[in-house]
Amino acid sequence: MITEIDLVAQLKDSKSQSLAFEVLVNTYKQKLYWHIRRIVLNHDDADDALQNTFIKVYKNIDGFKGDSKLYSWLYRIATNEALTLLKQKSKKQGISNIELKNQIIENLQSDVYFEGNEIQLKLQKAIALLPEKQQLVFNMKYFDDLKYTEISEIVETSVGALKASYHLAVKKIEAYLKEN
Amino acid sequence: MKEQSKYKPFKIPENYFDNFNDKLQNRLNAKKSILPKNNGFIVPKNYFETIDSRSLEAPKTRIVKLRFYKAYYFAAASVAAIFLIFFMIKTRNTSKVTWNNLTHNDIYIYFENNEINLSTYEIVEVLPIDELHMTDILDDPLDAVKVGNYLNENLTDFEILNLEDYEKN
Repeated sequence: MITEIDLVAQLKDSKSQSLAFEVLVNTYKQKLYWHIRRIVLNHDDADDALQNTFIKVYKNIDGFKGDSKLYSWLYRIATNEALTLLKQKSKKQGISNIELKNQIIENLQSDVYFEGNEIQLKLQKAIALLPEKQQLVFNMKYFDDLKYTEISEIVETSVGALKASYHLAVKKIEAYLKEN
Repeated sequence: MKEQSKYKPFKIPENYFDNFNDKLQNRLNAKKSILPKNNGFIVPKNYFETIDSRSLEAPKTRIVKLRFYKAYYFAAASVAAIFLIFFMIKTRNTSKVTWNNLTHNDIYIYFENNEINLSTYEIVEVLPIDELHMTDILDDPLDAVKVGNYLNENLTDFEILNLEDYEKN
């Protein structure tokens, strides 16, 4: 299996770029898709944001200095693309971010790509109600099983602050599920 | 609450990840512009690496203070102003005063502000009466309304008009 350093070097070399980019897409497309999907919840939006993520990576690979790991750089771009897409949607519809989240949650019930039961729908509602950072940390820790050190590199926050965020997020979700 | 499948309850369209690469490639190809990225300009070898040392080697030129000329600007402006005033006065004086150039107002102001010490008879003697004709006065018939307005404004004693005598006649 190709190492991350070699892959970056090949991506920057115009001769090997196409092949290396295909390797990159195949390696990360599923992980990044689910990361984005949990933020935007809707498949079509996730698909758009994922494509935008890889296009951005392709265009900016020369600017990647290697100060951080490749996967954390990719996750950071994916997170930004997902959040930007939501902001654009709320701006286009002239509603707030929270109103848009509620609207997306309501639409989940009729979404053909969502087959959750009542409890799963409530869990998504509880996550959607969390502040942006807590939402990200909870998803990455709970669903993606990323380590705190890895999340720390992606969201550029200290491990201590992340632990506190995750703890708060779990408490809020549990409280919401008990109440409802 | 973690016993559920990692990705559940979310689903994806069939063969989504298999077809993703082609879809992405199409978008990348569509975004590629036919315009060349390189604009054709190049710089000499090691230009930017050596620009600091070349700047230091550059011959030192004398720095002239801009403020140095400031005093001259004021002097030049003063001289220009003096010349302008001089020419304006000169131009005014050279214009020849003729009777036709004078307005009634100028004459009125002159008599108001200067003591002439001439009696009415003396003025009459000066005026070229011989050249005057009765028609010079009659050509400008008095407007009845103007006369009425004048009398209203200036006359206090109506008896002076001798209206009774006029009626008798």
